[in-house]
Amino acid sequence: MRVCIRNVNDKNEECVVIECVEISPEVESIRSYALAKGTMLTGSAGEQIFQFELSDVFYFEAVDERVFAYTKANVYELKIRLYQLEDAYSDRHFIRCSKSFVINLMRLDSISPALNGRFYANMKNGEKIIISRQYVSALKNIVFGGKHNGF
Amino acid sequence: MDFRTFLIKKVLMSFLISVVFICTSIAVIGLIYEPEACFGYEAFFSPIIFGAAAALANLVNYSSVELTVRQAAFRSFLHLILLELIILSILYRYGSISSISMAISLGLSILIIYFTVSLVLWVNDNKTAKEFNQALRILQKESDNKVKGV
Repeated sequence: MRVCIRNVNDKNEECVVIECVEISPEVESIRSYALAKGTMLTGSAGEQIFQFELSDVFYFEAVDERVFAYTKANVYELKIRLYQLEDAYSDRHFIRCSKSFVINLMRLDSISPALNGRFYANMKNGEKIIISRQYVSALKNIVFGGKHNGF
Repeated sequence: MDFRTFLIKKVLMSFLISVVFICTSIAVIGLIYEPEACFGYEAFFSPIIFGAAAALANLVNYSSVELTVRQAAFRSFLHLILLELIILSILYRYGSISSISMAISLGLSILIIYFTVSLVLWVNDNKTAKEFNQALRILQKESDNKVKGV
């Protein structure tokens, strides 16, 4: 696929145009990724499509190839992969904490020890998510801003 | 974590650490209580056998998928039972256990050591969590200030 980048003068004029023969899953994935780079997300709940603020998301979860965004009151299904969300929003405090979860550090209340060197992520909505041992040090590096050399 | 990584990181590390600690314990306790005791070359196998037994019991903790806390707790319990069985069996096989009361006291010793190690790890994790939570508050405050333009 050819990729063209054209300069514009106004930030408001920035947009991504996808020219394609048909809307394949790959095209849909590129569209979702481009949309995800903004602060508004598009997701479906039931048959309806909704837009919601990225900052309202407590965490993203991948379940059997499907990805869901959890806000305080709703769950939305997204047409994007979990690793793409992780890549797109790592600079907005969305951090991978296990194979299936990316959490919003701004919506994290605290962590507490679980078994086998793992931790619970106690979210501000009262939910508890397991932080896998392999992601603990990366998470600590981010929160301590690289000032901490591990435990 | 795949099985190969688990085998190298957890089982092998556990084996090496166990062997070092068993050797050190034998040396220190032996020097205190039986400094005159002599051993043959076969004595060198003892730390390796116990180290391997303890490390192999670790296999019960392996899972390719993320375990729930309940599953992890069950596996820890299973790990403890396996450790008890393996260590007591080896000691019995080599005639180191002469009575039931000795077997019970050895079993209790393993139990106490297991819980002490678990407690130390938990205390360390708790300290980690407290420091993390403090740093998290600062990060959230700084981020809020950025959003508000302070």
